[in-house]
Amino acid sequence: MKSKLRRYDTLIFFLFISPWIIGFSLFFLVPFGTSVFYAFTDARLPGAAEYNFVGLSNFVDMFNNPIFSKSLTNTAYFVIIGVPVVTAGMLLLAMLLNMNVKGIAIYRTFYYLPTLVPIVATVIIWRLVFNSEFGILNAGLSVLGIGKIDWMGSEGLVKPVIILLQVWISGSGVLIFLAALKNVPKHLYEAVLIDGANKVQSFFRVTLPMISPSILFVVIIQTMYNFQMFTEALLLTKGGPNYAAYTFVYNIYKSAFTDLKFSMAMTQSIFLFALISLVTFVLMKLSKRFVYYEGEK
Amino acid sequence: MKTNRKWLLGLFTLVLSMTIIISGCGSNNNNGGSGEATNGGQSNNGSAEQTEKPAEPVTITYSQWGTAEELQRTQELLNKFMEAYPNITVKLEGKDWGSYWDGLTANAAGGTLPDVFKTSYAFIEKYGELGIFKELDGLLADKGFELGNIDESLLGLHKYGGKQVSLPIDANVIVWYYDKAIFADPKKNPKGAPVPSLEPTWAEVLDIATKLTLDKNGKNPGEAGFDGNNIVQWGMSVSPGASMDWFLEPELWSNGAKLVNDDGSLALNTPEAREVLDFFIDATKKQINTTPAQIEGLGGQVNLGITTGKVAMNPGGNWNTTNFKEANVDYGITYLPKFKENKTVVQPAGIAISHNTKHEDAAYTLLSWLAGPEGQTELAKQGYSIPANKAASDAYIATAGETNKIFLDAQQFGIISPFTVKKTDLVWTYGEQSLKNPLAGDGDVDAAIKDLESKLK
Repeated sequence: MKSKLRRYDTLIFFLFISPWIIGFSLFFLVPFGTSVFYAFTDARLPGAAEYNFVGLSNFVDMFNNPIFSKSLTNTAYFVIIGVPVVTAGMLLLAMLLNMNVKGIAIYRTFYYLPTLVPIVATVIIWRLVFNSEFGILNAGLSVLGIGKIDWMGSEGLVKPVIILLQVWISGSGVLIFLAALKNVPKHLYEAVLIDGANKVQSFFRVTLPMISPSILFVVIIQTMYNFQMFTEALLLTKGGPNYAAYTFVYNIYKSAFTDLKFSMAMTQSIFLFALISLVTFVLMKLSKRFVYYEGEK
Repeated sequence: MKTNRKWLLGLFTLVLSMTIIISGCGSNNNNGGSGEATNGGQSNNGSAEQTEKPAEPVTITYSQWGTAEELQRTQELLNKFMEAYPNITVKLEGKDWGSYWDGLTANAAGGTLPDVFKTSYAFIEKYGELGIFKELDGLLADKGFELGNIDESLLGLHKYGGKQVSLPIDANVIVWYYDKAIFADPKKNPKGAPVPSLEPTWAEVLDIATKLTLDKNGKNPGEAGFDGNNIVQWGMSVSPGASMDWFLEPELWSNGAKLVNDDGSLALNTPEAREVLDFFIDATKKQINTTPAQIEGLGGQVNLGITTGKVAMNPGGNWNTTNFKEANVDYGITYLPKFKENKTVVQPAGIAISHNTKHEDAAYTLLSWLAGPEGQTELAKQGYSIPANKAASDAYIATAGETNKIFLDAQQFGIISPFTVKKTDLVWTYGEQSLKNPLAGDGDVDAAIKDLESKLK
């Protein structure tokens, strides 16, 4: 009887999970397997009738390609510099929006609004704001006596502009932090206050540890996003000037759809997958030291 | 509990990252495939049969790039076709120029190519290598299509491997436009610069452009006190690094230079070529010409500079007259300014049939109508595109009038410079990234040329 019940439970389990398994297999495992297959060929299109197996030569060619190296360097910049800056920006905004001031609901709404604007529209606005000739930013700076700055035409400035754009549209991350901040028990602040802690100490001793799971979540999501940055680079400067904003995924896109080298695009995709997996693994490992789960203590 | 949570979080991030990457990288295929699946489906409507009888109703797809206005005009053309062939329904798929080619690649990857699609001479070799075109020689011969009305040089630009894979439908040409209102307005033209002559030299154009470039105090470049930070009007707007195929190349030819050598290598390191490059660098540094950032601020399209009212002259194609009319610009036209000889680019777009169409008869009927006398005459009557088929020349002149006759006349100066895969890569992939800023005086042009040379190897 017990065994029958267990079999029935197992059947129900697989019945309920089967849509996910089917979807996962069809839309992930099959494409992934196909990508791996094509990475070792010279196929110009998926499903091409004629192709040859080329072993690891796509991987060798990939590392010998200067544009690939540049896209990797740019992407590393967006991950190593961009993720901490954007995460810190989100946290700062969340803390501001967590303050108990009059009309805070309105401020929260305003700060979230840019996230609701489609990224394409946001980038167009950004292009207008940062245009060196007619942009409102340079117009404001000229009042302070600062000359025209070619924000998007300068190889050194275009990446910081994109990171700033990410902070601008970081409303979702801000919401996550805001929710986490709201969940920090008040009595902990009262306790450290009694112990004589000042605001900075209470931030580092109470706030940060208590919201560390949220920080880990945002960092991982933002890391994956920045590894795969595409829209901003494409729409803001088409990866320019001189490949300064040419991101990894933009390069994959160009390899596939402009250079018509799908096998190379697949090779790059697999490399990126391995890279993200590795970085995520390292982050997860490191998180043991920094992330505090209240429920586990 | 701790272990479970850790595993769950680990599994979640792993699945998330894998899904995002694979779906992200594959989504263009999938989207392209699924996005076009409807069209493919339309294309396949009732197409269990491989060769439908012409009399039976059939739906085919036709894809092309263009602005909303251009697509509207194409739809009008297709309506005429469908009136003539009521058993064939043509579904128009329109995209902008930038996404058109990526979409075509995605369609090819997903096996959902449109039955008939527009081509550019610049992409024939590149897409010919993918094998997406149906060879037309046999079909044209069998059906008796009159090729004699189309210039041999235009036909040659639509051949791949010696085989006709596309038929030219228009022969667009690049000219030089100016805004008559700026020249006529004493406030905007205080020095009374004359309009450029029909065959202007660059020395003439530069002189005019200098007089028409004004700062907020009405001073010109080179004058004492000229405020380069507060320019309110530019004499000209060109961006040779971002328009290599349709502007820089004919200008190089005009000075006896070339963009690429016959072997596909870069040809920008000759004294004649450097003279051309230095001319544009100098004009931009002197602030007579717009910088890329200024072009971006003026709308981003160098060939539409005069629609802003802040640019006196710019190069453009004959199709840009539509934009000028929409912007109520009273424009004048000359040939492209020359260094030594008049040169321009004739850009013949064409029509091709996909290699795997299931409606070959209907697709051919549409192709032959669009490229033949009937469709070309209808195209000519619209007055915006120059028909490639000589049978429609009179209709074009009758519609476009004598003012636009210059577009036909300019074709005599067209350079013969076919696109190879390397040249396509240079123009569309590497060139703009490397040369746009250096040719505007921002960056090391020697290093950029070296960089391009290495990439083209």
